Amino acid sequence: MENHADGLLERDDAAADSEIDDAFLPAEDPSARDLELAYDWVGRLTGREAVRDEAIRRLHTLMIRASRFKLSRMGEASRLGQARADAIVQSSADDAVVAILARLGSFEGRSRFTTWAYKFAILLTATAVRRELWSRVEIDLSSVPEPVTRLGDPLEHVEGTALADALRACIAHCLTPHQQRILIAIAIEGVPIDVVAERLNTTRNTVYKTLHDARRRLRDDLIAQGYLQPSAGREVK
Amino acid sequence: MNTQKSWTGAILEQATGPFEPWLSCDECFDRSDAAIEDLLDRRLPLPEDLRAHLRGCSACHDEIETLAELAAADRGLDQAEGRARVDVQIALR
Repeated sequence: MENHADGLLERDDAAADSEIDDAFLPAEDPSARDLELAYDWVGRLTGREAVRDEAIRRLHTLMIRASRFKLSRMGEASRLGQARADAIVQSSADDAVVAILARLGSFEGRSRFTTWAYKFAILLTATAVRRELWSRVEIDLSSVPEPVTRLGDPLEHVEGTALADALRACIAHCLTPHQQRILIAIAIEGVPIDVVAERLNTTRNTVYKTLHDARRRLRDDLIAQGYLQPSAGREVK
Repeated sequence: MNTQKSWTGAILEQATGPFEPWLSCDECFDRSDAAIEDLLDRRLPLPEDLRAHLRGCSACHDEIETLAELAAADRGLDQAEGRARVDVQIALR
């Protein structure tokens, strides 16, 4: 699909700031909500030039709103600083409009257009914030870290050293080095999946598949050893 | 860094899930809008594979909660109510 958004989304900084300030929260007035609901997004976004241009601007305002909302829901985003946060909102909204126009043909009307559109801005904003916050953090994804010793985990004696030993052995023997690294980065080190994907030059989907396979191997081995029940996956020892 | 949670507990959590049936992040994204509206408008439960994915992927979980809040607000519902309905679904086993 031809990209109609590029020219329309070019603006000076003052205009961008004004648009961000004007981004609205969902209308509290029911009649205003009805008007929003009646707006023919797809028809207008595929309409004649003037109609389409107005719809794209309106869509951009909606994406600014969704992006700002997402940012406000990410407590850690306060570390970004206002200027960087505003830049992320702006670029995420721009990218969301481009992505929506490119995928407009896949919108099947199974939800409101606005709900369908929000998820693009939410995804792009959340991903940008996570990557920005981790951008200066060194993460070694090329090697497998040494297993934590019992002395390094004072809670372990409460939880059972036999189980802890079984978990360590399972990780070392059942998982590939790549699976081990992904599991430890996400589950132990708390690295967001988007950041792992970016560092490995791959997609969130691919990283999640690796994590999923590692979890399944881990669970199957613990079931085989009697540490988990097959049905519920509950600890039995 | 996840320093508060014990190593054993964190790894055990990964093994117990449940994170199945399998659903990819892309499929989760594609289906999230309709699933959230079904939940808000008709109180239909989230599909099992979507719930399993949201338990296993904190990024998708975080994003669908925000989608539920925005969609709830568009309906004149409390945003927290939208988020709470998602969280109740994810907690179901």
